[in-house]
Amino acid sequence: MSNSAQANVTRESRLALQPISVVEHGDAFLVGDPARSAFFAVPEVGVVALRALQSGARIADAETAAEAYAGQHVDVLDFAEVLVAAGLVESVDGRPIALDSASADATGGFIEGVRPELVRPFFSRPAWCLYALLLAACLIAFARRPELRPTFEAIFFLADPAASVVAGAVIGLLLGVCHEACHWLAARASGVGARFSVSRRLFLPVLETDLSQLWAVPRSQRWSPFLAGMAFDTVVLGAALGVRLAWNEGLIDPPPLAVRLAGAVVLLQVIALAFQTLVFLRTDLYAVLVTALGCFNLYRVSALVLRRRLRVLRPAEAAELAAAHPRDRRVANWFAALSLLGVAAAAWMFVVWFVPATVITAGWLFASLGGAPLGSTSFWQALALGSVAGLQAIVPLVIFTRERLRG
Amino acid sequence: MIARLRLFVPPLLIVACLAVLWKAPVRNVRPRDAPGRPVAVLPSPHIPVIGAHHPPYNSVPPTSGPHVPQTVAPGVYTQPLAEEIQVHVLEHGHVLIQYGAGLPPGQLSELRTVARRHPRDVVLAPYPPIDRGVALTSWGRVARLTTADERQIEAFIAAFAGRYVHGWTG
Repeated sequence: MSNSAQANVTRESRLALQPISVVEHGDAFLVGDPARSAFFAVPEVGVVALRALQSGARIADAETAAEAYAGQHVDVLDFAEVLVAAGLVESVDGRPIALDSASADATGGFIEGVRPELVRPFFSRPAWCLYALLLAACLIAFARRPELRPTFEAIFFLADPAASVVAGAVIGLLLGVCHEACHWLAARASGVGARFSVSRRLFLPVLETDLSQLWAVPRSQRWSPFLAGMAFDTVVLGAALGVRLAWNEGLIDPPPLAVRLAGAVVLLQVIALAFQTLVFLRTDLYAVLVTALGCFNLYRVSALVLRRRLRVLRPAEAAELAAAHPRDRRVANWFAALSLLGVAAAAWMFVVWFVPATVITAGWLFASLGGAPLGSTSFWQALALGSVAGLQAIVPLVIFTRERLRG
Repeated sequence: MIARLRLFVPPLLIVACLAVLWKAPVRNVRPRDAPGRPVAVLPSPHIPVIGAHHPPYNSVPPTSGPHVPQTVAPGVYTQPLAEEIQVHVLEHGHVLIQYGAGLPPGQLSELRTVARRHPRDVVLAPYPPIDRGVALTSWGRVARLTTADERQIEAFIAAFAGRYVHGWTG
């Protein structure tokens, strides 16, 4: 049974609300429960009604206050039912409202554990200037020193190519974990928590940090958590590129393996940063874009706009699109086209690169397993290589299946 | 805050200026003027693993022929590379500089300096089949030097690095 169905809300009712955050976002306000990351946008008059309800006023009285502010009729009863349905109401006229299981599940998993003041220096204005300058220096170095640009061979940094692939996958995973951890640390610097998961973007497995609690803080405090992962990538790229440059200039003479490892790290971080530009895959820069444009749910609205253009929009989706914020609908007009281009490019990449690479890897794997004596070094190397390649192909499939099963 | 910010600016400006001022060396050595001799290119299929049976190579070190699907990144290696990997390295347009165990440390240091100058083009590794001296290989080309002659090596790299990448490039 849904929350709203079990509550009997009338114009005479008084609501006891959960702790609710109200944050200005463009020309609207984001209202929600940071603990559950449940937010929705309301106009300013909604905030007036909410404040009245929070003060213990009857719904009818809140409606009077809202109408006095807006100068026209405001349906606060409908608004109250939305609050109940969103799980933002503890009780109606003293009768407690139980959260449904989905809402209850959503309350967990947000990790805090680090005091904000400890991590703030890493996300201060001077620190961001440093990260930006470092990124600029890396780009200049790539532009002026072509020999420092990474090639895909760089991943084979060990004399044993199979060991290189396995080591590269492990290093990439560790760097990915650190990237996500930096999102979390920057969120802590802004005073909110985050939670982690494994997800997918089309056919690519990704680690993901849920930063939805950021909707409860002012927009100026969201940039840093969104960009923190890329800042980490930039610092690692700068360090690895610095090693390559200094070695190239004869300033240092580290062990050869360290130089080649730095080359592999440069490649991994360039890929990681380039991936973030694919905003249609809801990357970090997508979050930045949404925040900069003052949008709310651009990805979903763009998908709906696309479905409408393709004439496959269902009635419920049409209603959802009609209820979307006007700015989301406006931006979605071009973002949907960008997404379509991006998905087409990804489909091309899937056909031209991913499928052949998988087939070739599988071919190597079976040839190696068939040609190498059972239990030999070559046999185990092939098995390790196959495991890495297999995991990268299977994880998105598993996540896709899980998403379908959950509806 | 501005004062703190200033602390970060000089080192980054130095890095940026170094990057801007550097210019890539000009490659103007013609293949016929470069050291070494051409070697007939063999059929060069993939073989499943290092050590799998295949027809013999026609030079020491090899310059074409059967090879494994994997390769290695350009750079300096302190362990020998299997010949089946060497050929794949050459197939990607790189130059292999290999040396015998008897090469004096000073000359090895010079080879490392050359490899450092060409981080995308050169693979440097020991090669036990030659006792002394240096072997330079590219796709279909080999040169044997008695010493680490930097001028000869640079000429070889200038002439052949990137000349063949799964096909002749020019």
